[in-house]
Amino acid sequence: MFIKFKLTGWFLLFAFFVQAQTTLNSSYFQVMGARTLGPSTMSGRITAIEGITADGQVNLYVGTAGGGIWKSQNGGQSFTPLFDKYCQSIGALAIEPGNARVVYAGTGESNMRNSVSIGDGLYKTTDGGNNWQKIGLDSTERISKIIVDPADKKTVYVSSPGPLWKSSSHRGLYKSTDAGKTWNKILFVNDETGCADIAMHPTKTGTLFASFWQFRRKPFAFSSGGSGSALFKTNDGGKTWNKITKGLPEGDLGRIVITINPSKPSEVLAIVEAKTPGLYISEDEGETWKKLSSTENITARPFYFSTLVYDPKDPKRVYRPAFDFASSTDGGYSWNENTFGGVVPHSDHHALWVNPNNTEMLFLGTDGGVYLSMNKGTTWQFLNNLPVGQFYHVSADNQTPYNVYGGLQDNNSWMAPNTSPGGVSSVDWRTIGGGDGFWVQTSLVNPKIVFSESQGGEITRVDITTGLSYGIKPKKLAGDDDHRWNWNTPIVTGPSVKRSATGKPLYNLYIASQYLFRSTDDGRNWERVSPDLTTNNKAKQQQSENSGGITGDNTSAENHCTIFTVTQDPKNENRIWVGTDDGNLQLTTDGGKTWQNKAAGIWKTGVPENTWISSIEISSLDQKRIYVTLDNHMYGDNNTYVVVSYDGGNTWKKFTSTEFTGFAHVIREDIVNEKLLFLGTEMGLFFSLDGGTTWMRSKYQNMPWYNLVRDIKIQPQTNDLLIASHGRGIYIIDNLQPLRELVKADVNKEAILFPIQNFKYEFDPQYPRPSVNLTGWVGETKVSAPTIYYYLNQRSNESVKIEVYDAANKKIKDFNGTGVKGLNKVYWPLNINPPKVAQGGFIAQSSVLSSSVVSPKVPVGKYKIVVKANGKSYEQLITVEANPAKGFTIQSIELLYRQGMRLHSLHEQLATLVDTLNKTIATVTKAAESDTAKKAKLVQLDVYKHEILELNRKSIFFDEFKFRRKVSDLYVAVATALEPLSPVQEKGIGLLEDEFKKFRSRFFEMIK
Amino acid sequence: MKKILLSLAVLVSAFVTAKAQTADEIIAKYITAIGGADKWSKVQSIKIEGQVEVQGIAIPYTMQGIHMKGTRIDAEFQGNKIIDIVTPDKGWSQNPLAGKASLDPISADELKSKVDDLDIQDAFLDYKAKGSSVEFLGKDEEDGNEYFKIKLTTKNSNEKTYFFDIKTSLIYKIEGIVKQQGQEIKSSVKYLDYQTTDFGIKMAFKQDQGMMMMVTKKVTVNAPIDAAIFKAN
Repeated sequence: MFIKFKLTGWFLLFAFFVQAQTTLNSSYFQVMGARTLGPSTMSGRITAIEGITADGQVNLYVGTAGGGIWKSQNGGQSFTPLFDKYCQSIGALAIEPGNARVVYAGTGESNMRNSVSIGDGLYKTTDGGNNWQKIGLDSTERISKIIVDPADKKTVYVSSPGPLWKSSSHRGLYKSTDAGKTWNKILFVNDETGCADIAMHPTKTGTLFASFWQFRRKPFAFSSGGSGSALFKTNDGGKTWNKITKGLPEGDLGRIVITINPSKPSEVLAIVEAKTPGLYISEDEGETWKKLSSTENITARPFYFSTLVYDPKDPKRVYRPAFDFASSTDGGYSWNENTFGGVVPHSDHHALWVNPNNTEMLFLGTDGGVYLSMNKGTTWQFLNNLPVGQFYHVSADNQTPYNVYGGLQDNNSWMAPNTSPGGVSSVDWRTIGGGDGFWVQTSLVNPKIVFSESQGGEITRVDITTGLSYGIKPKKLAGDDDHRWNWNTPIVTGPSVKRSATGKPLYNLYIASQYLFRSTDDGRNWERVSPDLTTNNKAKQQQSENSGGITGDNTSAENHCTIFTVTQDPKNENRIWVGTDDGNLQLTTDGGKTWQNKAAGIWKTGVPENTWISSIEISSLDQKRIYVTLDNHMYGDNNTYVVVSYDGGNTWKKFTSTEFTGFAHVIREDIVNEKLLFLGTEMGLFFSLDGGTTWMRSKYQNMPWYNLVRDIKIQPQTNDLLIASHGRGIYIIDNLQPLRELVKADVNKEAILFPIQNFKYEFDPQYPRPSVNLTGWVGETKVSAPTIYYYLNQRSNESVKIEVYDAANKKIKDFNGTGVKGLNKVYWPLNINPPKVAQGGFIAQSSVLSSSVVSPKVPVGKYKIVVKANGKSYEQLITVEANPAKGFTIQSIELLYRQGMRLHSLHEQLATLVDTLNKTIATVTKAAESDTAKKAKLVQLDVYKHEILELNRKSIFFDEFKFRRKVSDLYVAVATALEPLSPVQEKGIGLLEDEFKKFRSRFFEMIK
Repeated sequence: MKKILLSLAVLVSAFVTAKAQTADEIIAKYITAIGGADKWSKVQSIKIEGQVEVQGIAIPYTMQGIHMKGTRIDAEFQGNKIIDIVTPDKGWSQNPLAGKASLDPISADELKSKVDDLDIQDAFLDYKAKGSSVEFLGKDEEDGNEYFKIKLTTKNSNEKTYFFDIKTSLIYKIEGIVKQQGQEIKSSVKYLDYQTTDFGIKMAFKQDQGMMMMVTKKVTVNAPIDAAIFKAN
């Protein structure tokens, strides 16, 4: 046995060395880059804002709930993402005092809502965010605050509340004295209690406060507060700590926010969650406290609002960003919560930075992006440039161009066209429903009917034609238990073969509580088609009695024992799969009459029992193939669970990969090639090109490597892959066809030219466009041009050459392709080679220069594409077709081509004439040395040359119109036109041709 | 048999162990990979002839440099002469395509950003003696491969991040920062197609700058160059 094993090992080893197999990773198809659609107009949750003035500019670092870190070097006028290779959930940021280039970033947000993500440690940059290194605290999952000691910048304190969904020792207060190289936990209470907040004395920096908080979430309940919660103080940099109690409420406490007055450090403010929550002030450096009066806005939802900020200069001025923005001008004794004019900031505030060099200037981070005030919070403006929206789901219709739809965390439901002139921008997005948004679906028979929802199944039907919205949530009927609707209630459609009484096609609309409901009339009537499909465990249904802990909090976010996912077989409407949040996987094959729980087979693969079913995918190619993703993070288990059944759900197999991170949200099988799979988790998008045997993380598709991918869809007409990210908006990878080709290809081959999809004449729309003043952040445009995809096994050191041949096998176009390893993508903009243009004179920024770059577009027909790489040629054919719907008939394209070619030819004839002229001048110049007659000829020739070429032009601000310029102007106009000249206009070409003939005869006359 | 097994084990372990690296180890390997310190320290002048390839158009150029004294680039595109001269205390440039029609002095800031390029030997060769400092920034991944990153800061405070290929020890990518009006703009160049020159030093014959590719055709080391070319006429 031992020997046999050894031999196998040897064999494998040799096989490895003999033939180095190409192992693909996502860099092999980096040309399949995603377009981002945003939106920025409805941004996402901001968790941290830190700023500093450097080189006279306000530099900002903005941390987000699921979109990484963004930097502005101009006071928020523009932002760049700079954390795209790392965990996208940011808890806290800190800039080293006085050094804009050293920044610490704690991952894992600490606003402990149900949908909060998870971090993987602490990072640091020393070059302004261009490069980051992880420096520890990997298992803390959440970091709420980082303080760098201004007196000793190597001393850093980090507070970690720690894991939300489980007990853990990886929480508490950490300290480094070597700028983050090593860490010590300097204060710890117990496995249930973490450090929520810290505050440092501005001058006696060994004096700090640390608030500890006992908290825990379960899928069905939240608990804030307990005996572990307390406020601590140290005067020796954390060596010894005192528990502070004098004047603070008795009994179990919850989350405590604490802040020290920088102008008067003896004064300290704290908001204390307790049975009676309150705002407290200390005037003796935190030793004793007294309660101040406060509003509900000051004390509400401590788990979600934990920001309290003193003005850096004014000892009386305090800000409390919370549900609304509140400010005090008397040290916290009274509060103003009004906004006067301008934009009212989105509610739910989590971050505030006050510019210490200009305390009028405030940056406020909310659930809906960043707001800027230039008058201490009296009025605000929205920064429309951060596309960090948190989508739960995405869907698409089948219009041209198709629209995308989806719901945003705390930010309504939205729709936008997938492409728009100049790129999809803020103004292309339209809201189609309020509240927190989740699922949005369109009617399968009338795309003007759209269904959206807010939390807890509040579904509405919106008629886009009339603009009217109707609430259509199923009502409790006799025989029903009280309905339990998930926070993120599924709304799903499915095709139907049924017809209405009047013969109109129908489709199925589903929504689910613990019951599945179906409607075939746009939600006017609902039929309950199942019993309670959940475990109906009463112990998990006590939200209204005890959710929230010390502070009651019941907003449907903890509703449990509900249906979370519904999928109807597109080819058999009687076959429906339903997954619940408590681990039931139910199947009906008779349209809901009978149900079978198929989950047991999944637990046999090693997935923990009762794990939340997060998505179900029925293969559109083989209905026996079912995929299921499962999410157990609410029990503290962040593993990636994804299983497949090849026998209709009787037996299951678990997909595993060392690449996987993050709990799984969604899996999608390609609609054409069953080997091509897409998996979205809380920490990444993953591809499989071999049916799930191996997986690779998406790193090179223009998306964050650890993107929070909540939903994935394929738009069937365009084969586009749509990605709903929970922190960076919607992404689209256009046309999966080349990836399908790659799946089939032998990637060990040196090069492969893939079949080229035929192209219908089309150009990217140019108008109408919105005002550039309103567009905010703009996504990339979709490119309309024949696209050549080829694969190279290795990066090519030589230029890859591409040639286009017409039907007569005449070469009409040469251009260079890219030579990157893996898939290459090159557009052929339907043109031929530009003409040879007459040389001479200064031609920068003139139509003369453009003439040597632009060229006429080809007529419809068949073309041969030849790709030459590494000394070998590869060929494919493409048919270019007319497209009357877009304004391109066979005739118009042909006429435009002919007109362009007349001018193309004129340019080349002129170039030849000028060449001959130059040669003649050279010869005559030589002869003129001894011949006076030749001197006169030379003058004549020179005058002639000045009539053809613009030789007096010396600057781009000097237009000179000689014959070459006239030809160039008309040539460029026709070569770039999208419709031919009218017969009358075309006569302009004839004039130039006649003029050329005269020039040519004059020349021959002169040299006779 | 035993012997073979052992050497194979060594070979395999070389594949699997990721040894902790220091910046100086990485730099030493790199210097060896590009031909060694001995050869590079003898490079006193260099002439590089090549072309800039952009959108299918090739623009020939010549770069000439005398170590620490001056560098000059000449290129021509459709009759437009592009010139770039750098010396330790002055620089000039001309680019009619960018609206600079005559050879004019460059700003002090621009000179500061270019003056390190006078070191035509490698920036990492005797970097300490040159007053530069390095910081190891860990491992990173680019284009599907793994790299060690080192930040080099020169005595002129120019800062660049170098990506060293873990397998070949050669530099794959350099990221730099251009500062304008308080805004830092990141630039990056990928170094491809390493070839050994007649002189015995190894250089990247292609520099991929994203929109354009600088392609080297010919390198001449230590041929006489007239220092008079390093000034405006």
